[in-house]
Amino acid sequence: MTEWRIEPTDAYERAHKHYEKKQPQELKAVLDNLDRYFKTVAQGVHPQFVVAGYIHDEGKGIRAIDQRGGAKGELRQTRLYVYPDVDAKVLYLITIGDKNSQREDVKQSADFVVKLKGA
Amino acid sequence: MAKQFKNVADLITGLSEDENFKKDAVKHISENGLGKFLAFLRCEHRLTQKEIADKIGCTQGRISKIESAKDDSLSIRDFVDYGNALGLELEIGFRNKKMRWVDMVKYHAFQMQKYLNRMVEVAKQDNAIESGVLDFHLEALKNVPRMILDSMLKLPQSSFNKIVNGSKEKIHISGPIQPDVKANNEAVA
Repeated sequence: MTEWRIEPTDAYERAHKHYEKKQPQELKAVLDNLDRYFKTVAQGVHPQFVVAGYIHDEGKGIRAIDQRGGAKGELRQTRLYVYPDVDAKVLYLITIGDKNSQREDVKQSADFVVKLKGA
Repeated sequence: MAKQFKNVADLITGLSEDENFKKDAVKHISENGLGKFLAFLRCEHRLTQKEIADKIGCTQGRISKIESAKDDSLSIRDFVDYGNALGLELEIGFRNKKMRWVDMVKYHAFQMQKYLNRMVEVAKQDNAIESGVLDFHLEALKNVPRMILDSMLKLPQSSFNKIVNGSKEKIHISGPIQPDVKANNEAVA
């Protein structure tokens, strides 16, 4: 049986490095929630049944994981956009953004999924 | 081929540049494994935080806190509440730190044997149960060797070449379980 894997896009890698320098606490909190989500999926729960305050549906199977509960203190709203490919058992990390970039991030994520499915 | 990671800790280690951030972030995600496990159980039972809160008789806020709490701040009460809400019995156990994976496999094999023997004892009292127990033994006889074979077949081809070439004994029986581990198993049983 194949195990789930995490695959970051180039855009995610760039965003990761940016957040690591500029907003490390927010990145740490988002990664903690990513760990929470990934462990649940990797243990056999279908991604659509992972429901909690830190995760939101963005359409087309895309989910946004935020910073809530991931760390103590006041953190700026930060969202990591992911797409779980159930057949391939790959969780794609598309990008990270904040409230200001939300519209662009959702569009970028949707374009990614369209391209992935068309490939 | 694109980079892939088997878990979030590997992702952090592989992508982050700052050593302090790496260390901090990996430590941070490893401090709340129990809450993450409870969240997994809830999702496995297809319940929302609100639904499990209603079953337990608490607020959704408490569920959210439990699932994101550090391991050392959770209480037995939290586990009992989740168990009751999900129809699960709480079991607490200790394991010898020296136990290796092979010892774990052997431990579970002994446990299988113990429960099979118990079934056989019960079967002696009733024909219908005897038939059911026999069916279960046949099912296990088919499935357990298959599990072992499936695992073995994931080994690289070179492992099998050693058997074919005669450079490895065809049948290898590993040594007996370590005395302290065996004593531990017996104590558990």
